[in-house]
Amino acid sequence: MNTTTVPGLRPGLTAAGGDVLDQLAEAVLPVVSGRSTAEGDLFIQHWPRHKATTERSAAVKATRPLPRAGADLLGDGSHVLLADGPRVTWGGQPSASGLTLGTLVVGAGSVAVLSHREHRDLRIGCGIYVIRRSRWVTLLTTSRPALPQAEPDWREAID
Amino acid sequence: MSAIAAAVTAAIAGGGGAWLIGAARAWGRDSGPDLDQAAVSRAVSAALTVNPARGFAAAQRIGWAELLRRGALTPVAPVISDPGNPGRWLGLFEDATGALGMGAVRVLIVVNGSPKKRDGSHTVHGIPVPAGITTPLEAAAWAHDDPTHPLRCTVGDYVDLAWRS
Repeated sequence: MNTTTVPGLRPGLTAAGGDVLDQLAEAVLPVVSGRSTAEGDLFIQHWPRHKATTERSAAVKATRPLPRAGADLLGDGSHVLLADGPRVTWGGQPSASGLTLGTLVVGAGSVAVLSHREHRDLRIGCGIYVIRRSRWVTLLTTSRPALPQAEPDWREAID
Repeated sequence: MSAIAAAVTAAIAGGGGAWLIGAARAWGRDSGPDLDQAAVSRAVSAALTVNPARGFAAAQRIGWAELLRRGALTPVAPVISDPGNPGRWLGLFEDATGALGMGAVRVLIVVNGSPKKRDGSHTVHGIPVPAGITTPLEAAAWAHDDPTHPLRCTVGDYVDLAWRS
């Protein structure tokens, strides 16, 4: 079996077949600029200058700098948008369907980081983007019987 | 009827989603000769009819790859390479025999770009799409579109995708 010693890691750490090297390569995340990406249940769609220009301009103006803690896009901590640099603004502007969550603006030299609980982080470079949820969720929930409600919290029954 | 199939049927009757998922998972592990898989298929079918969200969750637990291996899904169009995920594929399937009770819904089968953390394997996912969709690319674009937003997602937009996790 081939083993590889990885410089910079603790002494003695080796990898069979380059596994660790592969993992390190994955850990160095590329920045995706001016292109669309799909991350888990979210779609980050690049909004080029020539498409829906009036709405684009209004959406951009409605964005504000991201707070240090970032923006919890789905409210459950699964997808958190963070700023790496001063020129990252976000505007939570839900569409009528609720699928589109808002508009992200990333200026030159800055990067927005979409941190996902299950996937590797996504680094988004210079550009204007909309972030939306996958549409299939609505196909299963619209005009269908609602999922049963969660059981009442047992703690609330204690006097 | 096997114990697992009976459990699934009882779970549907009682509305116990967690039971259904657990039973489906057990079915995925157990391929013993005494297992009444037809009964389980009927039970999952009933679940999909009563509550598609729960039924899809059950199918996910069984595993779309497993369902494909068993011939439970019929291809609508040729499988293609996933533009946003080099080396992976996109396939559009339907439940032509009605075995899964998916009805008018078709399913886009995709392979996750990000491997699972522990074993490096990739997860196969099923994304429900309307029956009017006829190609995997159309289905992928539909899944990421928002008809109420001025910026729509077209097939061309999906083809230009940089990455899909």
